[in-house]
Amino acid sequence: MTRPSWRRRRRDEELSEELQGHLRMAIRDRIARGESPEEAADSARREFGNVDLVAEVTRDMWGWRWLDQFARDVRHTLRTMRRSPGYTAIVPTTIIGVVGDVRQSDLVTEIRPMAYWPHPQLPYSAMTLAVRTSGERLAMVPLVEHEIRGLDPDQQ
Amino acid sequence: MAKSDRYQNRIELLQGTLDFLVLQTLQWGRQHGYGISQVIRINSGDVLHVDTGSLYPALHRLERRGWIAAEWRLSENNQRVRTYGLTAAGKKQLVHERSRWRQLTQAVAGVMNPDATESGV
Repeated sequence: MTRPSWRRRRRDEELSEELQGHLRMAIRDRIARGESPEEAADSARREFGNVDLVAEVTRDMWGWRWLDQFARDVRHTLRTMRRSPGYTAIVPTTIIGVVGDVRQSDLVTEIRPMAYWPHPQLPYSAMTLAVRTSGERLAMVPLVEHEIRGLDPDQQ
Repeated sequence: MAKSDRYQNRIELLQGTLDFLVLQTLQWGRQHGYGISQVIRINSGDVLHVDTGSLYPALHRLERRGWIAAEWRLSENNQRVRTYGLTAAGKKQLVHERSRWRQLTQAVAGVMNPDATESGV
């Protein structure tokens, strides 16, 4: 279970402040036009619609922003790597997924953006596969080996 | 009845048109979301009512694309308001959107009045 980051919580608060400000200004304008405070608040709220829903559809716009930033970071990294000797063969890769809040090694290390890409584009010499079983664990080994060889016959 | 008639006169904005209207509104200077919706409503002769459920996603989307930049400022009532201003990229995008809009209106006019288009060619 990961909690939303501090930055994310702050953005949520600012969005709610932004929307409440809209409502406040609408009510003030209506009062200035001669409506009673109650009438003004009622009609401004009706016109505004559901604040939570508006906040939710607005928040939907943020996900890609993070991805944009991430793509810039990746491009930057790739450029840096291309400039470094020993990495001359690295070319931009296809990213197949981006995830937030992954804890890789422990619970205290700062969470960093993670990306997954197709194995052939960036093969590692070793991979970790976690298998959950309710029965005899060792009995699973040949089965798992069989499945992995099915995917990649060159596996040792 | 007058109220419902007025409501029927409102026009649903085409996808993309709202982005254009927001950029267009901001060319006169920094403005908050409420101000933008008021300017669009008043300048359209009360025909275009921007739904907040469309406006705020549009503002945050335009901000994400780098066409507008947000800044918290103090209102005349000394309250913090999030204001938006056009960026250099946003000004360029506005020029592009304007020509796209002209194309669209010409195309629609052509469809509505094909004879005029033929004689015009």
